[in-house]
Amino acid sequence: MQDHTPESAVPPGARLLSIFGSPGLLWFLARREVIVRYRSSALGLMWSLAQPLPLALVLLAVFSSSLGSRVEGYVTYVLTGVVFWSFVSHSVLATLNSLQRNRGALRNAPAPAAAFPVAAVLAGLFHLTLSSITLVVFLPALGGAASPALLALPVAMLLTATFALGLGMGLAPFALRYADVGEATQLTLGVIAYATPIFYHPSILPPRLATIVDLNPLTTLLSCFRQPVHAGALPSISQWGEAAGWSAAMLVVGFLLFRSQEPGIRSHV
Amino acid sequence: MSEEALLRLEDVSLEYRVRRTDRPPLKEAALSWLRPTNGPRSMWALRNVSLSVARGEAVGVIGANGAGKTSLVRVVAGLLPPTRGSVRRRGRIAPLLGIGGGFDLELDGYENIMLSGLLQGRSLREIRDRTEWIAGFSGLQEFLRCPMRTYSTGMLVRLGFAIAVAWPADLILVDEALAVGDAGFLARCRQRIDELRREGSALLLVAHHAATIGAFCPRCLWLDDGRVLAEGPSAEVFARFAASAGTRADLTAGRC
Repeated sequence: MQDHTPESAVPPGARLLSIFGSPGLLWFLARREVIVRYRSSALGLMWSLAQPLPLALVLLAVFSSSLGSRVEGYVTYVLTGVVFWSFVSHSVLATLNSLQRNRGALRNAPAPAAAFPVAAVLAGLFHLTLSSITLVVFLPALGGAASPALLALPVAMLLTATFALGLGMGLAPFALRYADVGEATQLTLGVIAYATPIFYHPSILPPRLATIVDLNPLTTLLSCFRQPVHAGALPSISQWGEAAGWSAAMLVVGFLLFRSQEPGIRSHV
Repeated sequence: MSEEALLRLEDVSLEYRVRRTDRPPLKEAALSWLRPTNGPRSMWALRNVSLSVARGEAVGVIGANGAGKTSLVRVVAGLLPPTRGSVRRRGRIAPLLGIGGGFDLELDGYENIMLSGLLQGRSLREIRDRTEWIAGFSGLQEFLRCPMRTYSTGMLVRLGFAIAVAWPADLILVDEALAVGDAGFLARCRQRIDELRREGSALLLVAHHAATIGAFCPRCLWLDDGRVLAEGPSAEVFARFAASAGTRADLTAGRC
């Protein structure tokens, strides 16, 4: 009987598929997020590339002379920060809202609910990849230089995506039930943005604030993403370890929260 | 459970926690934590429902609006866990729940065939292999490149049904979807259902109208307020359902 198969008798691969859905489903859902968003626009994916630019230009215009003097290669410093942050905030919110946006499918199809948050992050990862490639291509024009350290960029991107998935996935079932969760998350992300060294160097901060910024997991993740592009250097082993630890912890917590709420998800759609 | 039974429900009850609309859910959760009587009220959509469906059978479920038909189908599909009782199912289920349910209206017909197939657990190859069959069965070939938001309700049903019956399944679940099909399409559906039943599939069909169920199902279940009021040969159940509906209509008219 399907409902009474002991868990131990199910192969691990099949168990993963039953939790997250097939790779085909995840690929299609992620592709849909990208296609539907840009299908009716003439510039298509160019919009995705253009999105972080206004903020980056404003930050550069306002802070170049003051904060910029403390950081060598301030343009790439700010651009990496803005690209990173736009991925984090967009992915967390898209993951958080993924269950609401797929109410119809959740109501009517037996697909695993976890497929929707995962697909939302995969779509974000696609945009981040596109932005990162553009950043690397224009690196010499921006005053930087390509280096072998850039090969570490995908690892930093994956760690950041894992962190965003854990955070958004853990909150998604609550956002489905309580509209306040989405609003509160948006507000909190706005605050966290200032506690992440997107456009300033942590050395300018007074010691108390510097400690807060230092404790922020996104500071470490941003550092792993930024260093290969901005400094042409690999992050240290301890930075990698810290980033991987935060990402794994966030994924585990988010996943367990999601699983604990999963049986009730379809009653709320 | 007998050897050939594909589905067995035993004393299945389903409770919804219905929240008050005049309070935001978070406020309600906080209030119910402080005083449990302030919490969402309980509503039993299904009460001690038992049902068995054997291989090759076609069973209808009839009842008025709010009788619990859709809840029953969602429990059978495994979308909602029962609050009490047990659901035992064998093999693969092909659900067609609601009209256009699960479709993304911004995608075109071909993309929705892929989406629905994947959501039902089919592989990319299985879907590609059956796409032309689905297009042919639905009769929508020339519209499949258009966004589905341009489709009529009837077209949504055609495509949904074609996807649901494209692959052999052990149990086909259809909720209300056949109510809007035209006579020609219903005849094609009937033919395909008979074909699948001969291959061993079972059908559980939910509808408001006796005529829809009568066309497909020799056996029928009558649900009212979440309870099974009658089960047996469709003609007999319809007669009791119609008598009750008449009585209720008379009572309502009397009240007015």
